[in-house]
Amino acid sequence: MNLSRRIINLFAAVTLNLNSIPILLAQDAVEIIKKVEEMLGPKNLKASYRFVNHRLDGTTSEYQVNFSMRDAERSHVQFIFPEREKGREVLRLDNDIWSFVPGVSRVVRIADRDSFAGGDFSNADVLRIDWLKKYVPKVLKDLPNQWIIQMDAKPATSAPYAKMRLWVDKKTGQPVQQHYYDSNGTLLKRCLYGETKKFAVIERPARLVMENVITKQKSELTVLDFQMIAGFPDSRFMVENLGK
Amino acid sequence: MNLIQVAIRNVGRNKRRSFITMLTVFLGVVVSTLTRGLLDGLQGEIKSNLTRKMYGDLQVHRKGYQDTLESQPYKLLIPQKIQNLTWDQAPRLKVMALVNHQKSQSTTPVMITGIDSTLENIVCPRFMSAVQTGKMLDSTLERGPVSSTPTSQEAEDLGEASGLGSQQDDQSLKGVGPRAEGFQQILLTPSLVRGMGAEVGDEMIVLIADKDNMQQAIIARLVGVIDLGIPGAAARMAWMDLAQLQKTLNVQGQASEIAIRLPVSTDLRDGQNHLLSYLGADQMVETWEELGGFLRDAMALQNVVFTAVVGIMFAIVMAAIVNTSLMTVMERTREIGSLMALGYRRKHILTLFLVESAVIGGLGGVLGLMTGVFGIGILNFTGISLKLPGQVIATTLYPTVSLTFLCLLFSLAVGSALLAGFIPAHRASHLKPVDALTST
Repeated sequence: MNLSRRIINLFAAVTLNLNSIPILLAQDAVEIIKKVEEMLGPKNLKASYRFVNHRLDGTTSEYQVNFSMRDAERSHVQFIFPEREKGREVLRLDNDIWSFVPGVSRVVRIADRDSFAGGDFSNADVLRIDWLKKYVPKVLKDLPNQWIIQMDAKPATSAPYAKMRLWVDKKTGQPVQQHYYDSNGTLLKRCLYGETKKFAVIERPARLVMENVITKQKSELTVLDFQMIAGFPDSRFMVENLGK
Repeated sequence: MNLIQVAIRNVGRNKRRSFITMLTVFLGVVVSTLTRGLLDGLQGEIKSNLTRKMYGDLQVHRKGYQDTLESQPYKLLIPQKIQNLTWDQAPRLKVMALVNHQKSQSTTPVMITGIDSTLENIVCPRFMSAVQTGKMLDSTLERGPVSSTPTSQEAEDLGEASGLGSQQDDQSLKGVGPRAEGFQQILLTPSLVRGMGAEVGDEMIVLIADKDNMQQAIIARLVGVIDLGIPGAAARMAWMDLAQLQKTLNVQGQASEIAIRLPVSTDLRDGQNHLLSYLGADQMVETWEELGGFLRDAMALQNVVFTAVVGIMFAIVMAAIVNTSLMTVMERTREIGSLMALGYRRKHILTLFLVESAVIGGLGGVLGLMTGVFGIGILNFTGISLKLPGQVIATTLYPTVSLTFLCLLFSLAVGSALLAGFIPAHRASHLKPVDALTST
């Protein structure tokens, strides 16, 4: 009796494990990245971020912004702190990024790779979470608790980095760390994710630290608020409405 | 003939006065010759610096180059070699980049110029000698970056990450990370090196956006500091190897500009027109004069000022000659009357005094030219070492003066003497013989 029960238990355990393998395999790189994208930049997102830039001389500069993202192609940032930056806006429409400078009441076109608010996040890092559009992902390493997903830039897509690697926690699907490389494999920047927090229906890292490996400077992004709304008016994402 | 002999003899009658007048002409000519010689030396040096250190004689660009180089460098690319052209060519690739000095962690924007050291040495040989410290970039020593292979650091990086809030949080910020290294060289200007506190041998990382707007990094060694020594030349400049830069930016075989060295006997404008026949409609040829507009204008201004100074100097010389001649006429009024009584006509009197002035001008001019040319010869032999504004390395000037200028100056000396002597000579020739003979 005991022997037969043991055999049944063993069979059940093996069966259970065999069943879990296809589940694991089904989590291919595209799906993993898709989930991370939905977590970090869902549609109709209204959020509030705080940026702190740490300079090598020990000084810091702080900015607070309201962030809106309608979909993967359209996002908008409005600076609300400090006082002198109030009114500054940044608008992304697919591959174009525009900045409204309140001091001169003019709109200027800026580049993806330019620094966001003078820190170590680039405009692309903040305004676009459409990695699948620009990169081809693959599982580089399947670790016991994490996947390392490598994303190689698709040719002629104006991707800001030649290669990115993202560490994703298997259990939670949360990003843990991200590395950014040039075409020769030199590490340019790395981003650490942490302090996971539940915002309404989405649980996501509430703090990101971006370190520039070259300049040894770092910037922090803290998510103060993160919610999805019914929708945004079209006017929010029009260049001609910047500054109005 | 007789008149000339009389005139020469008359010059010697009042030796002191003639000497002082001649000395005035002499000094005017000497100063003009030396000034022109120094100016020619300076302008020659500026021209050589521009053509043999920076621009070449001609440059080929895509149209719109000057306006959009910094903002859209990749839209201005042209093939790096002009086919079938036998003149020496040096292609260059120019892009804006950020240069980070690893030791001081200072980062600054610069204009990077990719050069082929062998070709550059042919077209702009002086560039290769503009090294203030360190040595010149050598393209043959360049080794491109080897794609980063998994190092122990990267093997560690491919382990499980802890994210934020762990002990690794702060430690990770001190790491270096995988890097693709080869042996790549960079040259910087003195002001950049001073600003960053860099030294030859230091590691610099060049951050640059490639043709597809993708961020690239080049790890390069500072091998030398270049002092162009050209007033107005940009201070935020760096030079790297052309082929490696092309490879990194994915623009192989393309350049922003091609510097051309003309064969010795070819005229600049003829060369410009000839070169155009090799180019497409979207390309243009600019001369070093057009490229160095500021310095060309400065040289033109120098020439205007020089001409004005020479003009003033010879006005003073003329005043001295007029004064001397008038005194001579006054002293020799009775003699003039005697000559007229003996049958000399007015034109003879006029010629006599004009020849006297011409002899003074001619003698002073010849002696002045001889002294001036001798002085220029010595200065040309020894050279004059001086530092132009902003230069660290002294420039050596070699004054020269052209034969054309010497002929002009001699003509000016004699011409001014004749002009200055005309009024007194005219006055003398119009004296009435009776009045002249009875004058006291």
